[in-house]
Order: sequence, then structure tokens, then C-alpha cells
Amino acid sequence: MPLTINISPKAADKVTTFAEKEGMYNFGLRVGVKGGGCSGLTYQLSLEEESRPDDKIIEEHGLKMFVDRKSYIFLAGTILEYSDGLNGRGFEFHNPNAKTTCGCGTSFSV
Amino acid sequence: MVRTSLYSRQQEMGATFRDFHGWEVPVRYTDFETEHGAATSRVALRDASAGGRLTLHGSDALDLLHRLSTNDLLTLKPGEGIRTVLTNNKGRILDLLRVYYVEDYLLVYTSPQSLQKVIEWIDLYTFLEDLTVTDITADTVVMELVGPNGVGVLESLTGGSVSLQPGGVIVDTIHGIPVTITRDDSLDLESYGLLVDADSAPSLWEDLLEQGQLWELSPMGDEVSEILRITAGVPMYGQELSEQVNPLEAGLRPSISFTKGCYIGQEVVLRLDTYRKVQRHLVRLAIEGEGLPSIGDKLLVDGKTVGTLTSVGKIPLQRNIIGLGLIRTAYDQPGQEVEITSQGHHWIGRVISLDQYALEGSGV
Repeated sequence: MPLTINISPKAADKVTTFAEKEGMYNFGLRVGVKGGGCSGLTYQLSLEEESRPDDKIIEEHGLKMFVDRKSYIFLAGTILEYSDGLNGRGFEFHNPNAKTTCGCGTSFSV
Repeated sequence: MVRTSLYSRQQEMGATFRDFHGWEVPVRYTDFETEHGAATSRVALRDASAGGRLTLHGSDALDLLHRLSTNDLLTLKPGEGIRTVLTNNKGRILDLLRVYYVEDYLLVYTSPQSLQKVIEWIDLYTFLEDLTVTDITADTVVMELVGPNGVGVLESLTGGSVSLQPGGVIVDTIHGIPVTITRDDSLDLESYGLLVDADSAPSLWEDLLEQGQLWELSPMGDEVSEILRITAGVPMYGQELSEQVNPLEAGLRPSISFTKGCYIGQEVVLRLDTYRKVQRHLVRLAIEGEGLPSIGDKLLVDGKTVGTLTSVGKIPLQRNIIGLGLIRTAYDQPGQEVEITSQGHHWIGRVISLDQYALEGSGV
């Protein structure tokens, strides 16, 4: 499997639904990493209308993802999923690079 | 070794020097009594340039440092400064930073040996933030006025009142030279740091010596400032603080916010505190015996190692030896006696107080 960032059909669907509620129809999902969080890094998701010059753009299941170069290094191989149901946690990052994660599950290190 | 622009003048003044993490620092100018007495009762002038100095510009500077360290930086207003611990995800200490919010940028002081590490760490965790880090270490000098008359000397040179709380910072000029003045009280004595560009430093040094005569100012070297630091129980990176130490062990509690939310290593620090699992504490020791024990010597009780000596110094004339050590919690009570043995010599140390590095005010 090539090293890229993948999104599950369910997660892609959830993003589109969310975007529509926000009145956005021409958008990309910015997937990134930010410093901080108890393990060192935290995942960031946001909706943006345009990509930035240095972004990698990944399309899957009808969704465009914008990933800045540096975040991409930390996220390559990651699958973004969505877990719902009674005990669902919402968007989940399954990152093979992540060595440790914190108790709350929102922060990781590589 | 790095020599500041003050070196030749300091040499002229009779200073002896030593290597402090790659910096050639003045050790002693005159004699212990004069220098020590100046810092505690009059005013002492100290070259405090041996360390790293960074400026952080950009709207995300404060937020990023807030996410990477233990203290609550988001409450900082321009003119304020704070101490904060840069931690890794295991809650271990990468460095103890002084962060000052100067007008519209941050001035960050690091330990001398940690400068590169801090620059690289900040860079590692910078993604899309609006942030520019500049290393101003080589281009600047810091001198300190330590002692009760310090503010008098300062005000007579700035020509106006200098009214700073501990942790405070202002930008002023002295004889046309821009000076960033910080109030540090870092040796538990009222003290003011003066940051200037290296080219202007010799001239400012002379101004301080001259103006200081009215206030009985003496230059002070590293020998006396070390004794003052140990007396005050102030931990220093490379001795009390390192990556093998967590902030709660080393008396850095005032630099930790327990309410600010996530930062790197937060869970570990919080858990240690919540479950009272801190295994060691920083203590002050009064030591008796001939000669001087060495940093790194073990502290023993009934032949068993219970701690390590992290700093030590002798007060001449009084022949007192004082030290700092990291000791297992069970043995950290005042009055506890420990044995120190090395190179065939033997000392008895006594814990004289549980270290509390807690300064009033902003926690700097």
C-alpha cells in the first residue's frame, strides 16, 4: 500500500455532511498536525475553501484533502476513519507512525 | 570558548575565568567577602551573558510556547515575564526558560548548553504557525545589577523611575544605548538584567561601574553567584535540572500550571502530582568535612544510596560547605543526615530545608 493519507468512505461522507450544514460546497478538508498535546502532537481537521501553495492534495471518495508538507511527513500511512454509534468517538486517526498516545486519545508522538 | 565584548575589560579588572558550558566566565574579581557583601547589602555587577537568547516574532509565538511548556503563557501581557519548563512527552526537562513579553515579541532566555536544542525543538513543532525565531545570543550581552542598591544605580542612569515587579520587562535607553531591562530576582535577591547589543556593552559596563561608585558597587564573579544560588536553593540546568529529571522533583512547581490544559508531557506531570508519585526532592545541604565533595557524589544513609549531590560550594573564611542535592522523598526532611564519600574523603551532610524555589509574584 503506497504511503499516503486515506479516508474511509464513512468519514468522507461525514465530512461532506458537516460541510453542507456549514453551507460549504466547494471545499477541501485540511488534515494536519500541530505541536502540543500531552504526547507532543495533535491532529487538526478543518474545512477550507482553497488549498495553500505548498499543500499536497489527495482525493478519495469524492473528497479533497489538503495536507501541508510538514504534516504529511507525520501522517503518511494514516487512515482517517469515523466511529459513530452509542460509544462512537467521531473522527479517528489510525496512524502507523504513532508511537505513543495519551489517555484522552487526542495526542500522539512518533 | 565564547568571550563576550566585556572580556578584555574584565581581564584588566583582574578577573579570573573558567569554562561554563563553552563560555569563558569571570570567576572572581577581588575577594569573596567584598563580592558577596555587595550582592547582599549593596549592589554587585555581574556578567550574565552565558546563556542562550532568542526572540520570537509572530502572532502564534506565545501560543506555540504555551503548548510546548508547563506554565500558563496565554495570561502574559506585554511587560510581563514568566518561567516555564520546556518538557518532552515524558514530562522530563529539556530546559527551564525565562519568557518575557516585550512590547510585541517574546524574548526567551535559555540555558547555555540547551540553546541549540531549544531552537530545534521549537522548529520541530512549528507547522503552519506565524512564527519567526531569531538567535540573538552572539550579538548581545546581559549584565546584572544584584542587590538592594541596584535600582538606585539603574534609575540614575535611565534618568527616570524603574518600577518593575519580579518578571517585569521594559525597554529603555542609557546614554542613548537601547537597553531591555528585566527584573529577575533569580538569586533570591533583587536583581535587574540589562540586555544590550554586544558592541554597546563595554560602554554600558563602564557607565555602571562609574555610576555605581556612589552606591558602593562591586563586580561579582561566578564563584560568589554560585554560592548565592546554592544558598537560595535555585536549581540550574546541567546540575539540578536535566532530561533525567521531572519538574516536580526539582523544585519547579511555581513554573507549572495545573489548570492550563494540554502541553507536551502534561499527563505525566499531572499524574505524578495527583498520585503523589514524585520520588525525589531537591534539598539544601550543610556539609562538614575537609576538602570539597564533587558534583555527582552519592548521598548515603546506612551505606545505601539515597540521593546525589548536584551543586556544591565552599564559603571561604567561614569554611562552610553548602550544597544542593536530589534525594529520595523518604529522606528529604530537615535534619536528615547523609554520608558523602569520594576519593578517600568523607563528609557528613545535613538537610537544612526542603527546597522551595518559589519567588513571589509572577513566578519568575
